[in-house]
Amino acid sequence: MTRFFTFLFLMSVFLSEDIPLYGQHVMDSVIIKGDKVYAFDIISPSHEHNDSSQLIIRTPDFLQNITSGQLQISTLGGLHTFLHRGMATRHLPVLWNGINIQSVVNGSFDYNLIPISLMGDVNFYSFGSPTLTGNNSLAGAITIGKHSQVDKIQVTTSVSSLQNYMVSFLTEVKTGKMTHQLGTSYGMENNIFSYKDGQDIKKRTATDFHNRNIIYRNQFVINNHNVLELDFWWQDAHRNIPVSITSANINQLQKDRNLRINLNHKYFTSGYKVATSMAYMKEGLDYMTLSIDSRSNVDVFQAGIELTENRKNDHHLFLKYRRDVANPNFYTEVKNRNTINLGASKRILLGKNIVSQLSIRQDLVDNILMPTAGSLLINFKNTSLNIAKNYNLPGLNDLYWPVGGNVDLKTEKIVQAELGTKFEWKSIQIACKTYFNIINDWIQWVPGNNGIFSPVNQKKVRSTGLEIDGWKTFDFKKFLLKTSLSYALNSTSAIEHYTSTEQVGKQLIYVPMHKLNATASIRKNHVETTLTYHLTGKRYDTPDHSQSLPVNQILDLRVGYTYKTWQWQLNIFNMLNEDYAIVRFFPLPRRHFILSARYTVK
Amino acid sequence: MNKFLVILIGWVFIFSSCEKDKLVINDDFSSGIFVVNQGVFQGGTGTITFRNESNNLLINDLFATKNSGKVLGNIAQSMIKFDNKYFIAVNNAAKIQVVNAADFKLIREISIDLPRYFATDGTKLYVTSYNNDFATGKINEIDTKNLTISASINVSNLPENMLFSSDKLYVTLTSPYGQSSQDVVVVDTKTNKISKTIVTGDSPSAILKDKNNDIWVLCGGNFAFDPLFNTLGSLHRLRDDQKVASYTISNGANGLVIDNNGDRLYFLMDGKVMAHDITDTTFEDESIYDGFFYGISYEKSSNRIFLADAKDFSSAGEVLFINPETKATGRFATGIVPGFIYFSE
Repeated sequence: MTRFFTFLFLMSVFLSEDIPLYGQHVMDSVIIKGDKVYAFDIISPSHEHNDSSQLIIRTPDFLQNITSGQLQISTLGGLHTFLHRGMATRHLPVLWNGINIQSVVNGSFDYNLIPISLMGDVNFYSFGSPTLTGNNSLAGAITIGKHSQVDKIQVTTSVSSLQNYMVSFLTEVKTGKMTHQLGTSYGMENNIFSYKDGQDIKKRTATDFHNRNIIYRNQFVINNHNVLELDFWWQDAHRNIPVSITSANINQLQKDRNLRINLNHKYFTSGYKVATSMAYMKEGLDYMTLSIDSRSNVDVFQAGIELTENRKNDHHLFLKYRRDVANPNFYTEVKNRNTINLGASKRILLGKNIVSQLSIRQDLVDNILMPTAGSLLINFKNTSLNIAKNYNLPGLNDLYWPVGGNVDLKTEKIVQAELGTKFEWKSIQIACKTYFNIINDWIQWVPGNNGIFSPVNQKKVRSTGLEIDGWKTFDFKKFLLKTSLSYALNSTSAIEHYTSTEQVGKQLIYVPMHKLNATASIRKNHVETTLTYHLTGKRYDTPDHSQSLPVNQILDLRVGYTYKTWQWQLNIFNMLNEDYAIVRFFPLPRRHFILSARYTVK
Repeated sequence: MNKFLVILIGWVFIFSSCEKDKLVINDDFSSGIFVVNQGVFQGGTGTITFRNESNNLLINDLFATKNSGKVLGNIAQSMIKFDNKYFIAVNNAAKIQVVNAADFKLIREISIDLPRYFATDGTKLYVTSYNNDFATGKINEIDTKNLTISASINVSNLPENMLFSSDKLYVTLTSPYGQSSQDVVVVDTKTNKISKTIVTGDSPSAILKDKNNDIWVLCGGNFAFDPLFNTLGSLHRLRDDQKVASYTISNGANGLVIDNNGDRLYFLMDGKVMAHDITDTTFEDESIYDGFFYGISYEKSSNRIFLADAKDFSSAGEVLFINPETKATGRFATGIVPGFIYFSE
């Protein structure tokens, strides 16, 4: 009987999704959601994708609401990344089942390729936990998880005035000890819109962006102690990426073909969990113009074992091995990277209301010891302090790009801290965070004496900031009014520059010092109307600050209607018809809408 | 809640209330120093910096200033004056912007794939261009009355700089990336046909004539997919279309100008400004100025070398000038990625 209850307890923890599966315990530093039984529950994301109240069709729309970062887009249909707290996209890992799916070749990941309607959990962590999220989690982490529970059938579809269409289908079937989740999605995005060019109104060229995804998940509860899980994700996308409005139109074709398989076994015993996993990924990225034929194929193998003890003082131990085999046609030979991670984490109760967690990780990359990474989290009631030390490996292109690659590049090294608290003032819920990051040997591509661009360790960068979130709900009985205001102040600049001292103290390009999001939402019966105001401060787009992009203010409206098994939603973006761009000469759409619907069979 | 609204309105007011005063310039641009700034790669716009030393006038982005904010286009390459008009080749925007020389107002855009450099003998105007495959190109004659391309000569490899000599037009053909070209083709401008091909060194790029009417060709050497297979550059002297002297220089050497006497060559190599007297029988590693420069030009009226400093290729650049005899130097600010300097008289 005891064993049965132990099993039930462990399974409830396992299925609760408060902790991500696969031992991916990511530490968040500030927003504490309440006292939890399980040690790692002090770790939670700062932003979660929760589609129960609204339909989010595109992953970038989820990130758009995160005030502490800047969605970085040149053109719709092109690469979408996120600059968090002034740091680069290579500093923000994207973890699927705990595996970083960023390209080992170029260090980036296109968030367009995350089919958020198939992924139950897409979470954002504002602070990196090097031990648990990997070497490059300098700016936090994005995790892609699975639905904890799926309705029998869930069909989601959307149509946009940009001539974008999407449909996805997700189902869950339980057969005895097995649970199957099967999902597929198809999107076709033209992203056609008008923009102002001086006095003229012109149209952007179609992106012709087709993307298909198939996911399959299987969970097999073998017995009270053993669970086997399989996760499969196949995707295929091709598109034509529009050039800037200052360039002559050419076809820039990009194809992404990715296959990801993860097999996981968990063994539960009294107070312990042992998880072993094996993963294989085949990542293909082709880019073609009339003069360029770039084809990149990367095979990734990963295996790991983790031990988690959670009876009294939690311990977490892991050992992982990852092998990246990159064979792009623009390298002169196949490049391999072999990484071994050894890590440990321990939760320590320092007092009645004080919980701390100490983590440490040591990597061995191609037989070279990397800087030791570690973090310390101290949580006192609603206040927490997180201190970490980490590093970032150069990407393979940084090292081996045939013309300009620099094999002598050093790793980027970071020391960072975040202090946060949450309190109530005049019935307003307020959360504040302040942080600093110091990154040594920041990597930047710069021209050399021969005119060829090369990556170099260019500078020491300091990123500091303050983030304030406030929200309040008014219950007027006939309707519910929810309001929130979120403000982020960020200063990111070089404090030492190894080649150009005049850049010291200047805000890094594309990083706004000020960002603000304000939301007001009224709910009555089945209808919820939400008005969201986004303000992005001035951003410099030249390192010497000779040019800047102006402040932009975007107002979005969302009207949602939920009735029985149907969920309808109309989003009107950029209601004020703001002409704006995140990257100069790549205009973004004026007013446009998305109509989406979800039908669920329980 | 009211406080929040006040803060919100305050923010909106603060961030939306600033507008720069518009610059009003009434000047004549028929003569002066023009710097063609390529602009930020992959999506930026080129700009034109105008410098008039007589009245100390410096205008960055002259084209936008005189054309209601209109952008020049991505990767401005070079310019030339012809028939009281300036022709500006805008490479990645696939056009030549034609402006009135006096007021710099746009007259017309000529569509052409990847235009590069101009040459004129005063009666005819030619421009080289790459094809979109970046492996072949064209030598194009411009109909300067109707502002169209009137004739095109297809060539293998990538046509770059040109030199007029009587009825002959010498055109350097640089090597496409990973390939090799050693050719300078000679076009008969009466028939617009290639009459001759002269083999020089790997990747010929710059060409000029000295005081003895000998032609000098600078070859940058090939860039191979594997840098181990890059080849050295070379400098060649042609007389009667025959190679009479050759000198080995570094890979990547570029830009070639000659002084006002026509007897001393300058070019860029290994981040230095190199000099070579036409009477020298060997190439001496003779640097007259160090630094990484993206373009070089020579103003014969003042006997000064002008050097374009693109700095980090993302920030505003600079032009430095030096008198090779007195060593007197000066500088002025430019737009982003200055690459070509043109003196209009």
